[in-house]
Amino acid sequence: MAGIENNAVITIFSTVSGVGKTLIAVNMAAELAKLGHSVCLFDLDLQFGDVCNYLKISPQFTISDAQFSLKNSPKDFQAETFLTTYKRGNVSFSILAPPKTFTETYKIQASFIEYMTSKLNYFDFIIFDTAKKFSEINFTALNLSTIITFLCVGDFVPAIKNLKIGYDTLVKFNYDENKIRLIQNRSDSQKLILTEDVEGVLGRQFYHNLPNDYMSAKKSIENGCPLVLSDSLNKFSESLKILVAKYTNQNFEEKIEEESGFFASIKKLFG
Amino acid sequence: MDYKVVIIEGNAKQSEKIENIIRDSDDFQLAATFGNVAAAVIQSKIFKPNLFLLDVDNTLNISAIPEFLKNYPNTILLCMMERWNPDSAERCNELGATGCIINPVHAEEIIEAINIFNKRGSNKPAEVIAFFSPKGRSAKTTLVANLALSLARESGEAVGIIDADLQFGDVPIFFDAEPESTIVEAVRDVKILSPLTLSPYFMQVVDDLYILSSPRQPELADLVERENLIEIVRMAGNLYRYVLIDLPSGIDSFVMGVCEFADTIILSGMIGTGFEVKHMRRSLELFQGWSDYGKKVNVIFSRVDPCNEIEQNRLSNELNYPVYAILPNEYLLMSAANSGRLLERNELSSSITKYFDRIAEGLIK
Ligand SMILES: Nc1ncnc2c1ncn2[C@@H]1O[C@H](COP(=O)(O)OP(=O)(O)OP(=O)(O)O)[C@@H](O)[C@H]1O
Ligand SMILES: [Mg+2]
Repeated sequence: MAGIENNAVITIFSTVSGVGKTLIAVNMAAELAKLGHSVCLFDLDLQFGDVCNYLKISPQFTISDAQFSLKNSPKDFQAETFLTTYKRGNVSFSILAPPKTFTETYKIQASFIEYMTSKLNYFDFIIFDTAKKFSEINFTALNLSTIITFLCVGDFVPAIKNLKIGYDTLVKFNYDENKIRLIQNRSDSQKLILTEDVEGVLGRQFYHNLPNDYMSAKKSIENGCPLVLSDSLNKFSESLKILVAKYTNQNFEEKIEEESGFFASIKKLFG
Repeated sequence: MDYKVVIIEGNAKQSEKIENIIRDSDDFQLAATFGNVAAAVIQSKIFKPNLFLLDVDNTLNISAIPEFLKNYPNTILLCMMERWNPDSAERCNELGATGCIINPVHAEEIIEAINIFNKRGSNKPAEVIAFFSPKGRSAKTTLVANLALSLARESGEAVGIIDADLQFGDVPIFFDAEPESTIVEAVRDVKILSPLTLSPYFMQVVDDLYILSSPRQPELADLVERENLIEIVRMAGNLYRYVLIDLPSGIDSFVMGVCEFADTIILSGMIGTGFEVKHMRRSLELFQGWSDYGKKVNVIFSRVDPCNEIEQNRLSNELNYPVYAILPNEYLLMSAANSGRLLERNELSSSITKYFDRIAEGLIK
């Protein structure tokens, strides 16, 4: 009944864009760091990553520089050289920034993501922010993950269809359903579609619901400050803290049993 | 309708085959057969034909198309080829032919072709418009679906949408349609298809609007290769005057290849955090070296607030490139897609429909 051990890898994934992956990745990293963990956030939205935008940082080195350096002088390679530090007050965490040009993005190899993850496994947590698609890079991230956060927003029928397809594909590709956490973002925003209906389509209940907090999110991005680090109280942070608590300690495995979905129960039946 | 047919075919055997088809059908009447195109242009006058069947495997015959049009302005000119040749077909369309078919085996094929080309609209080459949202998170499919409707209505010509957003295409949802075949089957069969046989892979959603659906499962996306897709697009251009392609987000050789082929590219983004403009500016750099860059690439931002000219100019300045059009944040648009009732657009506020109509006007060629 132990919580997550150190060296956990958490991927924030979705098959819909604009659902809040980056906002959640950044805040999860900040919250974990605030709790005293060492955290490294990989921006795997290689072409249009927003992590550095949302944190207002300009990295000196990127993942592309790292891969280049490993190729050219493997003996001298030091993974941490290529990380950028985000610091606010006494909270800080590391970031592996995406390439600066498109040409560089084509060259990033999935195996290099794996390599960097193994080199940086002394971090308590590695978090992957991803781009919306099934790609070799994302499959690698998913394979390396202790927890897959599959992020959903349930207000648009075409989007729900793509969430369903995305979730079913993960299950079909044999990702352990216990690893996948369905999280609904903006769960309380004015919606035309009921949460139960979205859950019905997905065939599984949400593990956690994050509230809509438009003004706070907007301000946080403008200031380059994660919501969980801001002085003002906001409902998004409160909810995110609960999510992080769920991820990091309390009776993790017990939770899994009750949250496991339809497919998991079938699997159990057939042993 | 009774067709008075003149056949121009140099190959005696093939010519005989077509003659037999024509003779056996009640819809046609054989007026004359020529082996030589120059003779056909001059001597056909006395027969007052309303349908030419022109063999275009002979390139000399292609160059005679303008002569035919000059001498027989209101006559249907169907070009025939033994195997589908997209280059010749495009050449024939450029010169103003009615359309191209594979050498017919049944009279019905000729009738069907005439109907399809009649629906297609004017005898001009197709306009291929690629819709691309580099970062995702835009109202791209909303834009594609609504512009297609506006284009079809305003031009009175046929519009085809190819949903090439291979992993996450959702064009059919916008029309509440459940297509039987998809782009996967179309590209699988492309080598043996011609416009007439490609046509059933598309599903008609309204009078003049047809869609080719994306793969049923994301992992099938790998089966759709760029070259094959472009062949489908070219073939579709023979069926529809406007071919709209909904592309996946992200920059790769598939997307860039399709964009290169297209006549017009619509880059769309949705305003949110403000970083969208930065992403768009980076994306534009990819097209900068292209000779027709300024004309071919059009940027459209949605959810622009306030949605007015001042804001459009501000965005253009920030982008350092003219913003072609802007769209407001429209709750009604979402609810139309949610209910699959896009087709009942009179339910949408007329103000938002006007935005799409105006953009469509600019795209009509
Ligand atoms: N719970 C929330 N409340 C209010 N605004 C939110 C919330 N979650 C996300 N947003 C806003 O939604 C927008 C998109 O968020 P974000 O960039 O994190 O999404 P994403 O999934 O990373 O998108 P992309 O697929 O484009 O990378 C941002 O403007 C963000 O501030
Ligand atoms: Mg993101």
